[in-house]
Amino acid sequence: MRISSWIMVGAAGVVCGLYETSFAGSAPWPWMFVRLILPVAVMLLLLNRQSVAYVFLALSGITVDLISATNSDFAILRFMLVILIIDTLSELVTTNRSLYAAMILIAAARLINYFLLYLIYYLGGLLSISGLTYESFFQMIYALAFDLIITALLFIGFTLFTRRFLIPIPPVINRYDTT
Amino acid sequence: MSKKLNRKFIMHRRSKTALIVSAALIALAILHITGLLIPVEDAGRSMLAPFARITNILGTMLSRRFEKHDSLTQCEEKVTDLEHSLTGISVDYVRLRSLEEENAVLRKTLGYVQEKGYDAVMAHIISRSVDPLQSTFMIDRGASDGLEIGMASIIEDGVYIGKITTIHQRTAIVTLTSDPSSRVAISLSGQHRLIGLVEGKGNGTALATLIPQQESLHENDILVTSGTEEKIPANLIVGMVNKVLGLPTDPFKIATIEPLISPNYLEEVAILLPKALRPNQ
Repeated sequence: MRISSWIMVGAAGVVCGLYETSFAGSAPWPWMFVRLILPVAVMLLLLNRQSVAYVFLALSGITVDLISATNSDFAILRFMLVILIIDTLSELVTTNRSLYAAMILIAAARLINYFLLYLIYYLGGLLSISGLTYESFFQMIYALAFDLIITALLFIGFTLFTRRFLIPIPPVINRYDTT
Repeated sequence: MSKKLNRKFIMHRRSKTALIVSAALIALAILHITGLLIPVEDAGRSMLAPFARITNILGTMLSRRFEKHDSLTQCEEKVTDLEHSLTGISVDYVRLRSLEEENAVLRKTLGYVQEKGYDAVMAHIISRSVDPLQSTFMIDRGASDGLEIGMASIIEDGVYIGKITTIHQRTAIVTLTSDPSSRVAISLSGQHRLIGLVEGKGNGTALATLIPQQESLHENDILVTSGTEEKIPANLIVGMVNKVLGLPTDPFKIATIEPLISPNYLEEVAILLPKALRPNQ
C-alpha cells in the first residue's frame, strides 16, 4: 500500500474514534448505539486487508482512550484482542466471504468486545481501579442490531460498486446444462 | 496437502501477528502505568481536542434538532406550574432586590471591599459519555490552566452542574450531578447549613437524600451547594425539589431533584477557580 493510503487509513481510524467518543455521546438516540469501528474493521478483514484492519483499530482505540469522557477502559487492548480473535475466526471457521459470514463475524466481534469490557470492569474492581464502567446487556443488543445493519450496508455497497464479493461465474447460456 | 500447507501458513502468520500485537500492548501498558506516556498522551489530547470539539458541536446540534417536544397538554401543565413558580419567585425577587440595595449601601458605608475569592475559567466540552447511565464529559482545560480535582463546574452565573473528577495536563473530566457516582452537599436556598446530599441516579436524574425529618422541604424549593466542600463555594444552585418522597416514619427524607438547566445541550462551561490557584500568580 502507498503512504497516502496508510494516511487515509489512519485518518479514518481517528475519525471513527472521534465519532464514537465525541459525536455519539452528544447526539440523540439512536446515534449513541451506532458504532462504526468494529463494522469497518470486520469489513477490512473480509476484504483480506488484515494489516489495514489492525492499524485502523489501533488508531481508533488510541483516539477512544484519549478522548473518552469516562475513565480509560483500555479500548486499544479490547479492540486489538477482538480483531485477533475475529481474524482467526475469519480464516479458520467462516472462510467464505458471504453476507452471512460478515454477520456472524460482526456479532462475534460485538459479543467478544462486550465480554472484554465486562472482564476489564471486573478486574478493575479487584485492583481497586475506580471509574471503570460497562454498558448494559440491552445497550449491547442495540449496538449489535446497528452493527448488523451497518455491516449489511457496507457489504452490499462493496458488492455493488466494487464487485469484490461476487463469485466469478462465466456469463454463458445454459451454464447448469450438464449435457 | 496444499490445504494443510495453507493452514500451516495461516497459523504461522497468526502467531506472528499475535506476538507483535501482544508485545506492543504490553509495552504500551507498562509505559502507561509508569507514567512515561503522560507527555505523549497530553500532546495527543491537545491535538485531538479541536476536532473533538467540532464533532461534539455537530452531535449537540443534531440533538437539538431532534429534541423531543412535549404534547399540548404537557405544555399547558408546564405553563401552569411555571406561572405558580414565577409568582413565588417574583415576590422573592422584589424582597431580594431591596435587600441587595440595602446591602450595597451598608457595604459602601463601611468601606467594605467585595471579594468573591473565585475566578471562572471557561472551557469547551469536547466529548461526553456514551452510556446514558453515566453523566460525564471531557473539557479542553486541565492542570496547566490551574484546574484541580473537586473544583465546581457551573453555567449561567451560578448553576452548579458537576465537579472535576479526573484531571490531565490539558483536559479534565467533569462528573455531573446526575451521575451515579456523584455526591454533593446541599442546603436550602437562604439557609447556610448543610441539610443533606444530592446523589446522582443516572439518566439525568438525581435524588436529595439524608435529609433529617425535622427539616422542612417542599416542592419547588431551591437547593444550593452548602459550601462544606473545600473547592465548591456555597449558594450555587443545584436544582429544584420536584417531589418529596418517603414516609414520616422514615429516618430521612428523600426528594427528587429537577435540574434548572439540561446539561445535554451545553457546549461551554465555567470552572470555579479559587484566586489563589490562578496559574499566573
